[in-house]
Amino acid sequence: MALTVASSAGNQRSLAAVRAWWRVRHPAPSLAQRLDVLYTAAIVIAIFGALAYGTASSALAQVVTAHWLAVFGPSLAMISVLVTAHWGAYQGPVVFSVADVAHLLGAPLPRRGLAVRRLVVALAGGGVAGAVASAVVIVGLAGRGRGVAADQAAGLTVALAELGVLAVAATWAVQRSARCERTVRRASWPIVLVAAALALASDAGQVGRRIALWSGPWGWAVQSGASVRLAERLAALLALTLVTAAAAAAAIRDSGDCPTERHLRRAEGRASAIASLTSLDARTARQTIEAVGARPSRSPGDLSRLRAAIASRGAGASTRTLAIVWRDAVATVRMPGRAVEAAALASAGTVLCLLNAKHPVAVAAAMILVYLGASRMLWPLRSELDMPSRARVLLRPRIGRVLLAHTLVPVIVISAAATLAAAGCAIPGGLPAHGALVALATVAATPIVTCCAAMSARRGGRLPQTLLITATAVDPSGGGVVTLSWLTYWPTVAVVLGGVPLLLITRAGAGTGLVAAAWTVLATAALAYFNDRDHMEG
Amino acid sequence: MNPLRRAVASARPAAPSSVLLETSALGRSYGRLVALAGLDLTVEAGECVALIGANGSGKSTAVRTIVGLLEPSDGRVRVCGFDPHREPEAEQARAALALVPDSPLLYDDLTVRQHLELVALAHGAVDAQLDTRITLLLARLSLTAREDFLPRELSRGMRQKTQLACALIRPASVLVLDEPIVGLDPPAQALLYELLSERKRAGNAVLLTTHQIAFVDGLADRGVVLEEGAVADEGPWAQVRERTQARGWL
Repeated sequence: MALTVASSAGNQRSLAAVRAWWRVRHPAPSLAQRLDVLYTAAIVIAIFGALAYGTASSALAQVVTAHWLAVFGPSLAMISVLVTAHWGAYQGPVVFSVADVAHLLGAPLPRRGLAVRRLVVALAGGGVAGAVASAVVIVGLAGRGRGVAADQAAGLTVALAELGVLAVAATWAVQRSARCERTVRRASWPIVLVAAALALASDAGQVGRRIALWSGPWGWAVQSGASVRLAERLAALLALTLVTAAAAAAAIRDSGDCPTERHLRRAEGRASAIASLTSLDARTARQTIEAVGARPSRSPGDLSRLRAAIASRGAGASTRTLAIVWRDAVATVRMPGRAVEAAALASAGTVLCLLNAKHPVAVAAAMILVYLGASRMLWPLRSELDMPSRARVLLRPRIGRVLLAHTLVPVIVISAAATLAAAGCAIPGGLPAHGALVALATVAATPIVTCCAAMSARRGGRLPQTLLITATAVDPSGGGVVTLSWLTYWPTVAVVLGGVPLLLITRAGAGTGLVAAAWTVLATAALAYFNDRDHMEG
Repeated sequence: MNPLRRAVASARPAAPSSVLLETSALGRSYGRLVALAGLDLTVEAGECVALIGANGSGKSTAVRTIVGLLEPSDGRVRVCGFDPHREPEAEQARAALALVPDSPLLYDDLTVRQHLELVALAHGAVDAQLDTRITLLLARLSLTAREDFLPRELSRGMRQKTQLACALIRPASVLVLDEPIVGLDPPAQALLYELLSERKRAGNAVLLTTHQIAFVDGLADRGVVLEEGAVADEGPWAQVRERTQARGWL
């Protein structure tokens, strides 16, 4: 039986009454408070702005040029929009608290009225973020005395601000619609490949560059800074404005069209993440946010043949180690996306390393990429360490041996990815001088880097209390230096231990190959020894 | 009469036999896990239905899907004839619904009384007697001494009472309670029993889930037993209770 209940106009009045009541309970900052914030910001910018501008200008000017923007701009803009859209799968621009979901979204208030202000603020925030990004690009373009014409700077600012708005509109679409979320997930890697192809095409010649600059909003947005004719720039800006206006209008129109369940999951995820961050537990916070956008688990990848083969070996120590390998293999099969990401990161690091083997900065960046890939593969180890009692109850070997066994599958996956990437470089003749030796050293560095990531993982996701006490008591920076040192310790060790043999070979010649090999063997053995120890580093 | 009050008052059932809550073939899955399958349920005005079952049987999923917190995978829900999952008619379903969740969902920075004010405002249940009604309700729930306390200053039971007060301050036709007696002491459980009996007599529909089948004796008219997300038994409460105990389900 359908009953007539509170009218829509009545609900609008209720919403206005709630807003008025809320303003009384939570008054907005006064004009004086706002001016105080502005004054503080102006003082800070005046003091540090000139210094920061000089440093940023000289650094950015080396990289950001009109040519660089034409070649890499569309790809970077495309990836930025993709990454922003992904945020919608985990949180998004319209986030309520758990109590909001219960009391406001559970009331007969118009959803659109509840969501639209938050969405408009987020769209404006996207515009501001785009304008800030354009300021960074303009600083680079104008560096080394090159200067930038006022119309170009204004065009770039408007265009990137519009792209920011467009990205937030896309994020809202992902947040409110499961279908959009699935589409973005499935399209992510193809979009990354398209972005790479656009960069290659732009670098190849004028025709490819024009294709990239006209390939979509990401290309239109960078035309103002990419030495394009005025008429084309204006046409691109007009097209971008129309697309952005349409996207923003659609987002605002659909601002009430998001299921309560999606709001609730985000609200609960955010509340848990904030609770974890309050206790400086970044790992749990990240896992909580990731759980919001988690996909349904796949069909059981139990690798039953492998399990049977392990079981047939009896109850020896090797069987127990293989059981952990089986557990990691099952985790990899269940979450193939994580293995693919890890392999992609390791491959990218290897390619970067082989193509720039003489440059220490490039080698360091490559080792960091491999480190990130290894970290993705070490998720089962992290999960074991978050609940050490589980590892001790279920697994009979001592904890150090368990943790060492957990590095085997990551080492295999990362090394295999690095080997394939090295082969991919070798086939078209892309290896540097002493190519075979450098490729071998790069692949041999992957176990070292993986072991460093494992050592970092076994410290746990939460900053230890002893470190916090030391940081607050001793560190003159107020704890920042000590905390940063703790966070960067193992990545730095990975860069040093993994990168030194490569630089030895490329800089001092193939004669140092023996030294590099000895270094690699000793470093791997030492790290394996430390991983095998029972002591849990704080 | 205030138009808002008139509109909300018209949400109350016209006849005691009218069905206020109805689900048909309601289902909900989490990936491969089917948490609820084919739930057909009706709750009429002035009737109380107890939804019982073991842990993981799908009670909370059913409640959350009925009130619109979870999207159904299959089937449909009607609250006073409106679908709580489809805007804008969901607004009208929400106007008729009041939920008491299994754990209190309260604002950290609002006092007990402010929670009630906010809920009343959001449901358009504002009139000159609002302060009096809040005061009376707080007194009845023994919350008067705590009315200016924040949730973090309250015990679990007091927070649960605050959540209950939020559900009772609004003129809902359908009351849905998920494990409402968790955290409540025996006097508070007796008070809850009394309050729900009053709402029944006033013609409201009551749907509640519980493990404490003794609590719903005399309150529930019908019982529905869930097992593995499906209805395993249903009927008049006395019979369902007898069969449930005989089979050792609870």
